[in-house]
Amino acid sequence: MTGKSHLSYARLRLSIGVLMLAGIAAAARLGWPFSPCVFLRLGDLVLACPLGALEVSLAGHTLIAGLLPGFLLSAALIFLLGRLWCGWLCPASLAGSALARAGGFLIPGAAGAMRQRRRKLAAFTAPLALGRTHALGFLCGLLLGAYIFRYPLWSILCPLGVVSRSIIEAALFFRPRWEAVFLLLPCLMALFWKNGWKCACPVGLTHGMLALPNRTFTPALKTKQNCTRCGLCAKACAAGLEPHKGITTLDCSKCLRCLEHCPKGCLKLELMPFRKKKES
Amino acid sequence: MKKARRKFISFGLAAGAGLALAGLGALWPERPFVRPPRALPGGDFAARCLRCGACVQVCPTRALALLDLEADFRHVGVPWLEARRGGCTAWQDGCRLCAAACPSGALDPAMPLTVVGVASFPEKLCTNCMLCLRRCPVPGAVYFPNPEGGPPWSKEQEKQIPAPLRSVHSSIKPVIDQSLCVGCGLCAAVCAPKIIRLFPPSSVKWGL
Repeated sequence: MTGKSHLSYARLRLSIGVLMLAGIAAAARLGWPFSPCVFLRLGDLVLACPLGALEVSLAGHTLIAGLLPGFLLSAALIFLLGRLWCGWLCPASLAGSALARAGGFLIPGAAGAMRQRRRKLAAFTAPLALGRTHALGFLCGLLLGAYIFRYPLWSILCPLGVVSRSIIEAALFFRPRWEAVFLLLPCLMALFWKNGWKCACPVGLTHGMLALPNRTFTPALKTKQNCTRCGLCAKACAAGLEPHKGITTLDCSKCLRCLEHCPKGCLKLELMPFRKKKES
Repeated sequence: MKKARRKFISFGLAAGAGLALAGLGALWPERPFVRPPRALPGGDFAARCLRCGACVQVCPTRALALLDLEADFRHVGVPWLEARRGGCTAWQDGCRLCAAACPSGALDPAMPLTVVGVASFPEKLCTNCMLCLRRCPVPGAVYFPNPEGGPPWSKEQEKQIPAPLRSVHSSIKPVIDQSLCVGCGLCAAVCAPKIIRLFPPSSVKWGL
């Protein structure tokens, strides 16, 4: 891949994120219901956050009929496209990368020092390495808690929800929300853990689990003989994976960073995962 | 084997953390607030609300806002009627945009309109501008007590109110009938000295 396409991917990701945030504010001013929690409404069809829909149904002790068709449709989309949401649409990850970039821009050398400190901190928290097991446990605890206490806790803590509610109130009433302190949680996790927020995000995990059985649009090593094991793809990966050794759909956020960073162009998106299996 | 046990323990710990957090929020003492019209009663509202803010985005009078950390933890992010900005016109023209926008049915368009709050104000600060009397959608909920013993004046009889009573210095102030007030907050939104406050129907005074 050339440097030009590299730049355009980053720019595309940034513009999608900015458009998303601006869209929430514009929708609030124009009187349309649009937020990352409920991102599409076509008549009776409501495409809502799958985790939010699950949690609210559990907390309400009812199957919410209005959310069911949208839930099935979004589950099908996630099954096909994987965690595309995390890599391209999630305002939380956009804010994280924008903050990191702004820090490096404002204080020269800060990014390097930060990375070093982060490495030290990461070594400190290594025994507490948060992984899939913890994330899955937390998610199960949340869903159980939602059912027992009739309280959808994650809808309050979710960085996406906090960001969109803050934008709505800022756009309409020009006031900040105290609730924004909840955003400290993902920021701190990004400081202490290698994969930051991504290792524990319940929404991302829900998406990943829905996408788990399917491998379409997952980066995979296509021309093995060209791969020099340089590790650039692993360095670029936002989810901390090693694409040249194989990727799980549970973690891959389809950000395509590995594809653009591979100097030999060995990585390709898998379009027909089943045909490949037959060959091998 | 050891690895599996360790995995199981970390799973259990994380699940316990999630459960404990949810339990903590549920144990928080409840602080009443003025609910939007057509909201589900009791704990159902907090349980069903997705906290997406769609109702706030579509409200034409900007009467709805989202509860912040000043609420009990269970209700953070839930919409409430913040009458200072604009009152709810549901009792006037039957507006149900917020309920129609709600994806999870926490605001149910099929629900009948109920009393969501009660407006009251400190009489000393009232300037007798009569805007509340003109704006109130419920006949008779705001009236001027008749010193001559006749029926209380309502919106239709506004012209009969003697000029001395309309004066800023008048000792007779409008009265909000607590049994008729539905809590739409239109009076609080138009109130010139901004003294009318909206309180939840229960006696605990917490609203603005």
